[in-house]
Amino acid sequence: MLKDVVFGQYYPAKSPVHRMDPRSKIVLLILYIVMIFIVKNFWGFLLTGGLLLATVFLSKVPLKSMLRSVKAIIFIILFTFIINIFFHKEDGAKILWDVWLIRNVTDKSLYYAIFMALRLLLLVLGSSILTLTTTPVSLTDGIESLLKPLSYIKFPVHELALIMSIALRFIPTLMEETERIIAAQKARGADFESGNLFKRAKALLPVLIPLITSAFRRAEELGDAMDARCYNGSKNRTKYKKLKFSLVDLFGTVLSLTVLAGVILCNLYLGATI
Amino acid sequence: MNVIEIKDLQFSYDEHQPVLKGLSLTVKEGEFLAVIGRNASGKSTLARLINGLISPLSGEITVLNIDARKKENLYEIRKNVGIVFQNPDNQMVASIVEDDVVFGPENLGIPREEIGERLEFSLKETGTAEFRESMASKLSGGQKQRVAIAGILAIKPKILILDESTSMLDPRGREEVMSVVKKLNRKEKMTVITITHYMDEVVDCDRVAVLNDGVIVKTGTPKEIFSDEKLLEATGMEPPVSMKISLALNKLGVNTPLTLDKQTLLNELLKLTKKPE
Repeated sequence: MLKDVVFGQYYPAKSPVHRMDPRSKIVLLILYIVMIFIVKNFWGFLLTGGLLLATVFLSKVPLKSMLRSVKAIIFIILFTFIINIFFHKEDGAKILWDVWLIRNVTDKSLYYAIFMALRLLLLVLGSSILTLTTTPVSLTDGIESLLKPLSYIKFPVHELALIMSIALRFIPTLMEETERIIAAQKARGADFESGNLFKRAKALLPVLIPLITSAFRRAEELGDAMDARCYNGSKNRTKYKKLKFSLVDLFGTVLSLTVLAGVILCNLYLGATI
Repeated sequence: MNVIEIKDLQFSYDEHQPVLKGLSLTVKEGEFLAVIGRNASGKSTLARLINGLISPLSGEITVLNIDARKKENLYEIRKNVGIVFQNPDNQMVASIVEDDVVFGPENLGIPREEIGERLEFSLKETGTAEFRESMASKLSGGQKQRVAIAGILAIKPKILILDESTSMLDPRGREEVMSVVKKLNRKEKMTVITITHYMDEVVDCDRVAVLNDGVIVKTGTPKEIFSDEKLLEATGMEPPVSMKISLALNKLGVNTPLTLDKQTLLNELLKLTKKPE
């Protein structure tokens, strides 16, 4: 459980996708999401789905880990599917099924529902590739670097990134502490397992309060330690770690742009069905 | 040369309870000084005053001839005085060891190439190079404190303060940390001030300052301090085992030299047990 929180879903492996610059991964993911939303027919999905499959294959992430992220939102996918199948209305639609409870299912609404479900599925799978192949730490680095231009309009980019990385740094520490406090309270006879939901939530109070107090104490000590190490905000600060745009990134960008062009061509010449 | 000069320093967190009551102390360049004293005697407060994390009510502190009471001097002083704190978990900023070590030099605006050099140097000196890419949370207490020292070394301070840095460690971790610090003192000529209540760590120091009730009551070599029974009693401290045994033997009328060194004591004891021919 601890590992899950610290690394997110990160799946460690040596692959070209893992090696990519976090910045290009984030930008390409955004591009991919845009593609999925402009796709107007199934040919477009064939292309974006192909891009996704190729990336999964190159990243060496097993399909099982990919499917785990789908499982988390399977309910949402089913829900949109059902809503669309019953309530999507279009002129000239042929009714396929209209018996008691299940009414108004037309060929158009079935098509639309499948299309939307597929869109969501591709969206989730694509995003999970990013979190599966990038550690939270380098994700933070990537976000900081991408937001850099905002610092010209006085947006505290460095501070934001530092907050994120300190939060990540303290997750395992606070998790450990939670376990310790729970054990200590259990030793004094606290009961966390029985009773209804409300009772159990209430039982957590003696865990949360010491945890929060200790978090504040830690924050204070960390602040002192940072002061003692000459922390002075982003003023005159250098950065040791440099992100590098390499050949893999170039390849990824070219591939994605090619698929984008393909999607646009599909939309223009193969008919927009949505 | 004196790197730190403290004169008649007073400090209190609230009006009714003064913590330091006119403390005076000088620290010489390159020396290994131990500050000992019972809990709440003001040891940690002293460390924080030297570094400018808090400022005194009255009295003088000069660090490397810079007035530590002036706010504009703090940055300069912190560049030269590094502190390793007590809790290894609460002084690391980054999740990854390497990222944490470079935090200090990044703050100072050191150019990239030089940060790289400092990183390599610090990791090597503290023996932390083998887990440079590890998660900080996966390390043992001793390893974490060594990383903390590496983070301080990367700033290249002239003075290193250990503020009870070994008190949360197991004996092995304590030894790891102390051997790194001793090496830095000997090889890099770094001035070290260790604030501790482990008497065994004090034995190898050049000089010991005893802090009691807000003032330094005595400074001297470890041997001078630990053979002063009145002082030990008044300040509630126990001497290291070897000194305890040699003191006890003397009390029993057995004539042994007072020693802090276990091996010397052992040799003396062996001599005593040998029957005269």
